[in-house]
Amino acid sequence: MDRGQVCVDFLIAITIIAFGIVILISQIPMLFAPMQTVATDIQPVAYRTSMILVEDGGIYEMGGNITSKWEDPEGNGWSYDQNKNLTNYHDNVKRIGLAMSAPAGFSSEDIIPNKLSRDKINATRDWSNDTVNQNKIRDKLGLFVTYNGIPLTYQYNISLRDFNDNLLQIDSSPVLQIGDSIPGTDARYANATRVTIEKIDRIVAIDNPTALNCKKIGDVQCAKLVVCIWR
Amino acid sequence: MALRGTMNRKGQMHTIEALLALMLIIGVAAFAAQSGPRGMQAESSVDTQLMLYGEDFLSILDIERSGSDHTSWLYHQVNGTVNGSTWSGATNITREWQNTTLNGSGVFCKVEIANVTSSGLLTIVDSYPRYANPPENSITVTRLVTLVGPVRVYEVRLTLWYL
Repeated sequence: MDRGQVCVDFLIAITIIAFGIVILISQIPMLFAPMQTVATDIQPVAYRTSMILVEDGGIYEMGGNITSKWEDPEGNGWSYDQNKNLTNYHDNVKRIGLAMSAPAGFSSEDIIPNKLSRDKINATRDWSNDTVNQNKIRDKLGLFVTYNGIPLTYQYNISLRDFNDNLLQIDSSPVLQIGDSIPGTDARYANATRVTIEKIDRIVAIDNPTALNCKKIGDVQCAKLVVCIWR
Repeated sequence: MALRGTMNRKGQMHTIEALLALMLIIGVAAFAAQSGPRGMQAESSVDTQLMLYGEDFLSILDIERSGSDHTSWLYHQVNGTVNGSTWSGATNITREWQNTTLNGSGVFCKVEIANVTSSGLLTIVDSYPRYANPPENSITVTRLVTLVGPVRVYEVRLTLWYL
């Protein structure tokens, strides 16, 4: 047993080094973050989506001209169900935004940040109810992208709520609730316990808030736009 | 090195090597912990949400009033504070914050109105709650308001934190 002490020494050394490594890993919470490309990118995507909806009016492009009035590009006063029959309407809508277009006298792309257009809200809701074209909304919100040749699809749920977190309703139906069912709130996803959901609340003013349960802040009637993103 | 086929009578050196290695690792860990990103991602999420609450709130208060004078509710609060004798814009802005009911979710705020001098100095002209002392992890968002006749620039500072 002349060499016995060598093994014990080695064991002690390895144990100490193993403890050292554990301490090292526990000291740096983001050590493996660069390898978690999927989990860590949800928050920026949720942030970007909320910015697109609240601080952008959207883009409709036709013949090189652009306007933020994608909900009624020809100014006919039409609803989504009428506009969707325009030639290439869905292709011409490059981005969906809900911010109200600036009044006459401003450029056609100008918008009022944080003030949502009731017409754009209605058009988005009607588009979501259009079963033939509803999957295109994901593209228009930038929630279907290709990264290094790999397609990434983000699930989303976007709703307008009052400050008590209840859905804004009109005629007993939600003013805006589009997208996928949030895991954990739907029986189909009852076992999906390890889904990371990023939720961002935005305080928004609503143009023409008649019959909505909004709250007055300053001069305008306000509610919350809730954006949930997951994969 | 540590293991060889022959007897090694300098076994105690391995422990010293391990201690040296541990010191090295702890040194690296201490260095990395100081220089690397600190805290969990959840914290940045919370900060982002507070910042968005603040920016949205001030942006909404500063929406142009319908009419032709291009002023906003926020403009009149600053104007009233600066030119009125008993007007407190900071108190009124805080009262509007209560309408968001975010206080019920544990989000608290302090409002300050500061004068931006030509030398770049900020002088607080009004604040509410006057003696509130926001914690270190609070978020401050600001919005500049320009009064005309004569032109003066004021900064509305909204500090938010979770309790």
